[in-house]
Amino acid sequence: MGPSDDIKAQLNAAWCRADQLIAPLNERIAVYVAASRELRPEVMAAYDRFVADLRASGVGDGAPGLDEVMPDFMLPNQDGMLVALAPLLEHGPLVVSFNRGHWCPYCRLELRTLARAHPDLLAAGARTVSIVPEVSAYTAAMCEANDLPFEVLSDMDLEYTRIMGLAIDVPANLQALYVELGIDLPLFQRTSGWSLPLPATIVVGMGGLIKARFVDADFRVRMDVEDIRSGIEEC
Amino acid sequence: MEMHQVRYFLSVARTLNFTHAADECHVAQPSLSRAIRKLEEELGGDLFRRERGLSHLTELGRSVLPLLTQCHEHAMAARNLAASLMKSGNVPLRLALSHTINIQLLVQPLTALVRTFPGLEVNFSRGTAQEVGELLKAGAAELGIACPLPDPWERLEGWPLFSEGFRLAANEKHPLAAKPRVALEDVAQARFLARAYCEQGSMLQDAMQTRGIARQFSDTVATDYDLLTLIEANVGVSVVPESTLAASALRGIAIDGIDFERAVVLYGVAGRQRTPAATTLVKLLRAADWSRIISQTRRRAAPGGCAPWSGHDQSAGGPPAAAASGA
Repeated sequence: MGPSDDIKAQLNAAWCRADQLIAPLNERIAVYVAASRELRPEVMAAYDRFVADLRASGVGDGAPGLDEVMPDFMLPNQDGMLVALAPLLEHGPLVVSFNRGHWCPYCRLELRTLARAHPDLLAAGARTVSIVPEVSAYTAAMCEANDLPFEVLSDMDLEYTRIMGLAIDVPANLQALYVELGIDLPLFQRTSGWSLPLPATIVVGMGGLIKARFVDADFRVRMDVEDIRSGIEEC
Repeated sequence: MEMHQVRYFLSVARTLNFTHAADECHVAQPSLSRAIRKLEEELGGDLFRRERGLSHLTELGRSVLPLLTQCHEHAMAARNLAASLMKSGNVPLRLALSHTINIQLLVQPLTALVRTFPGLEVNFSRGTAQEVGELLKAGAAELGIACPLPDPWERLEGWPLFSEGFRLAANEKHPLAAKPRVALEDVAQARFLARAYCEQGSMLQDAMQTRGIARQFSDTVATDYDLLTLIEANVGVSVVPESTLAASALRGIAIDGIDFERAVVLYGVAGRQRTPAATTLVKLLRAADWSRIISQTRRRAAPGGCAPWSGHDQSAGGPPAAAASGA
């Protein structure tokens, strides 16, 4: 059934307001969350329950911590080129953002924020990369639609995400909700299950060690750019 | 002779004690004794003079010791070499492609792969879809690309890459190339080049039969390379999957009367260790934007943009709307 066209339009408008607001990322996300709570309280309640369950399960606690080695990766980018971790660390630290997909309004706000911050982060010596479990048809479209100046890597079957301890299974009730909203994870990811990454941001130093990290069970909370900058300075 | 028998023999020869040897080899003593006895049966004599507490090598045991030591060392060296080759990617990547897979589709992914594995050698095999399955099963190929196998081995894992429709392939000078669409009936009137190896051959036959179309006459070609060469010489026309024309300047014309599609699937063997190159190629192929690859290759081949063929009919799950999903 999905939300009515009117509600969709209002949500869209709220998202645009959040995107254009000059404020830290989490404040902007909060604007969209507030609008969502008003327009579709039952959906946000479902998300609240999901997040509470995730938090209780301690998922993400096993992700590599500060001063631990960032596991290696070799993943295709949105143009079909292979990208590995080591070359990205050759000239400076790396900001790694784990994102859920082109469809996620929170990820889109976050990635657009990272895009805007990109010149500053580059000036501080850091490159950025996003890792998403979707195929390049979607990541390329997302890069184009949001003018992303950095690479978005496809993590098929969430293989690397699982190595990082950041993979979560989408429970049946949420699957049903996503289907209603037209979010077809098996199609976007070209896989049979319903899994997503816990959104996370990791700052990796040139030596390959994790210098800053943000992992939260609530996908509606992300690492602020200020914290990323401090993380880069730690490197 | 089994490697573990040789290992146990060498251990007893060194320790001169069956119990200590069993400990060293992490097996129960009866198993070790049984293995040595089998070796002795095979070599035709006792290798040890068994005494309580201390065993001695017999003449036979003493004479085979250097050879069996060498044998064991060579086996270990082979195992280590295999492990390091697997790690360094110097094992050739063996790909099996069915006859109807246009190798042009793999150029971009393989280019990306070879950039990361510079010493990599790729061995291609061709065959029917069935033969591709056999090559995988036999371990003669690590990965295969073909249309869906009708009765696949249960250990084959398949990842669908994309689906595509069929087009009439014709030289631009051919009368049928003048129209943006043709009817199946018109195709029947032309000199037809049949692809003997086409997995959908019978579906095409059925489509013609249900419409009561009898083909005038047709040649039979053995490879797509031959087919495209003949069509470029305007010998005749054919019905091909869209990707067959990917690197060609030939026109691909829509056909009324053909509504079936074909799926192209990547196959590997589940549970079998893959080389790093093969693992990486699987990721590349699964993540690839196939409609973009095909349309880019098409544009390069037919720069005038003359072909009415477009990639949009493909159900490759193409780019989505960028608007908020309402999540």
